[in-house]
Amino acid sequence: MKKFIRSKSWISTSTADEMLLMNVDDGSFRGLNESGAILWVLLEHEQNIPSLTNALAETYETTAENVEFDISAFVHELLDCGALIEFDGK
Amino acid sequence: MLSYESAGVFIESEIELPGLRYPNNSGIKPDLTIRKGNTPTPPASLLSKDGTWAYDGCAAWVMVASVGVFYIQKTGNITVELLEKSTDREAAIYLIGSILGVALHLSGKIALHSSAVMVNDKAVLFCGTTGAGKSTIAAALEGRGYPILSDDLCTLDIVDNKVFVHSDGRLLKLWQASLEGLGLKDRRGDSVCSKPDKYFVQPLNTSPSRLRLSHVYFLHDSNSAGVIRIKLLTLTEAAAWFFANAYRPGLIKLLGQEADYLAAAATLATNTKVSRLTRTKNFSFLPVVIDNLEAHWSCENSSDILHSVTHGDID
Repeated sequence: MKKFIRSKSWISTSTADEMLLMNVDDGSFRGLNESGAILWVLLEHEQNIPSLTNALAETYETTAENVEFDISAFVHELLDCGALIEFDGK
Repeated sequence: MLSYESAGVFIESEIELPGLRYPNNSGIKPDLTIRKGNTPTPPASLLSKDGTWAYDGCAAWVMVASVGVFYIQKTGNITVELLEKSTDREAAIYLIGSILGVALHLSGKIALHSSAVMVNDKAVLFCGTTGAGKSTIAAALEGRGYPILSDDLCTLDIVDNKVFVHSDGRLLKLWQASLEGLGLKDRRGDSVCSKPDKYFVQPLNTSPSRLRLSHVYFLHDSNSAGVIRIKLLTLTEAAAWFFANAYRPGLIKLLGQEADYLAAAATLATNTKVSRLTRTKNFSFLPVVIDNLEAHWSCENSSDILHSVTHGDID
């Protein structure tokens, strides 16, 4: 199963309701909303789609089906900009 | 030794630093000490490609072809080795500019390329690179009764999510054209050594050296006539402008200060109003720009109000 972790090229800082990300290599920035910020914190360590889905569903007291699509989009967006690294996990 | 205060640091210097203010209190341990003397030779492996600077993790060398070598240590000691024909006055221009900026970055300060004025007992910043119009806007606002805090450089400190601004303590510097355009010829002081057509200007009022920050404007030129637009920035936009307007942006990466500046940018964007000020740079239009700024400060939901008085829109 694919696993994901933050790229070391990206640093972050949190505000009251957002997470601000910066790529220290090219100086680009991204903002994450509250749920994105929760996922970003989890991604300090290796995660896969089910682990992220379960954690977010538990946080918002909803079903995995309700958040799975958003998480998949979030992961792909951050993979595209290089903020996440994908690797094969067991 | 002469004593000065600038950007929240106390300075003792063997070299006179024209344009800097004297501290209110004497006997304070200096943060920066400037002496003339021999500087060590930088290791060739650390020299920049153009040979104008080097950094070894503890100190920086800045080589100015017509002046000499400045050796800036993290401890706050600055040594100036002047060339035979160069003068203290020539060295002072660099000491109160780039060298002070390097020293502030080395000491971990958050430094912005910015002028500042006092509005309702708080600081309002106008950020931009050289030639952006920082001093001109500050001078025009001083004419409306807002005391000037900084001409070119502000350092920030953050306490409990409140952002405070330290004045650069410098005299305003204006080009001759700005002095004429603003009607300030009678306040023209000595010329700025390296720029014969630029002059120091005596302030009308004294101002505090540290104030809480309320607004930040990043200056942006419009090529169209009659444009004034103030746009409140998002968090990511504010961060991008913040990094671009650091006093010496290249030093952030070199010194590994990205995390400190990122945290400061986030605090700034969430605890003050951070906007981009786009306007036509024209002396005859300046009163309209100042009118719009005053409107911005006078209303609670200022970004909405500003749209009603916008003369144009370049976005």
